[in-house]
Amino acid sequence: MGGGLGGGFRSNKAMGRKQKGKIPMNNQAQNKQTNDVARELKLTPKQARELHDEVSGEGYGYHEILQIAKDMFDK
Amino acid sequence: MIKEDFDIINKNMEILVGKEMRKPIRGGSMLDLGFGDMIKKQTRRFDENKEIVMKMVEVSRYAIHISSTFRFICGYDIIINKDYMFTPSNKYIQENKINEDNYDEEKFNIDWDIKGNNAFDETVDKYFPNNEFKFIVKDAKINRFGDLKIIFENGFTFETFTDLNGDYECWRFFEVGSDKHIVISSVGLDKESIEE
Repeated sequence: MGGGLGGGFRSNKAMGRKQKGKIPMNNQAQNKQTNDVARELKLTPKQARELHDEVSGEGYGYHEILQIAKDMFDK
Repeated sequence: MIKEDFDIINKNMEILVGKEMRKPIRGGSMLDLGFGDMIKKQTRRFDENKEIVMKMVEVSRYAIHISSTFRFICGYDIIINKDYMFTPSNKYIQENKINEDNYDEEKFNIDWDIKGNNAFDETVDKYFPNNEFKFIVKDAKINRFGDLKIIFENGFTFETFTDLNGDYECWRFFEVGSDKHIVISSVGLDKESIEE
């Protein structure tokens, strides 16, 4: 289906994604995000807010976020 | 969730109405949505030697960071969801000649966090905001569980669900530069996040 956008959008199926080729996932195990950095470095809620603020709009990978957090808080 | 928290959160969500959403990005596996006008901020960036340097950049004034499950839907289609972050991109599948016959989970255990390896990056690059197709917020509300729904004028809807256990953060809303963040977990609003 085009999603009502003149055919500009294609569904997963239409894009030819094979579900069999999908990496089986465990959301919690694979989640690597800013909150995990905050937990790993034992940041305070205030520091976590500063970290979210710092990485907002940047599109960093997990390890880059970790590196930035260490730089910010001398960890 | 108690009624007081429900009202606080929805009051804050009203800020988004009429604002434009920028192209969705991710920080690791955290979805990062930006709304409103662009503002300048001094921030840490990586230079060509991967060293951290301070730079002045432009970012959206408002942000929602989502750690829990989400999806963008339109009509009867799910356009993109969290699972896309852990799904190989078509480009990766083609380059590594993956097919139904040779698929081996360990052999093709991709590093999804590398930009372009996963279907999320690929789909967002292909289909999300450009000059011709804007995402203007028509309505943004939570339900009594803290699930957030954002309806856009273009017919798209964004949904996130508080599906993480205990007090694990599901999503947060904040204005860049502000020390007050609205942080939601399965147990409700994190009061500590809005303390001075």
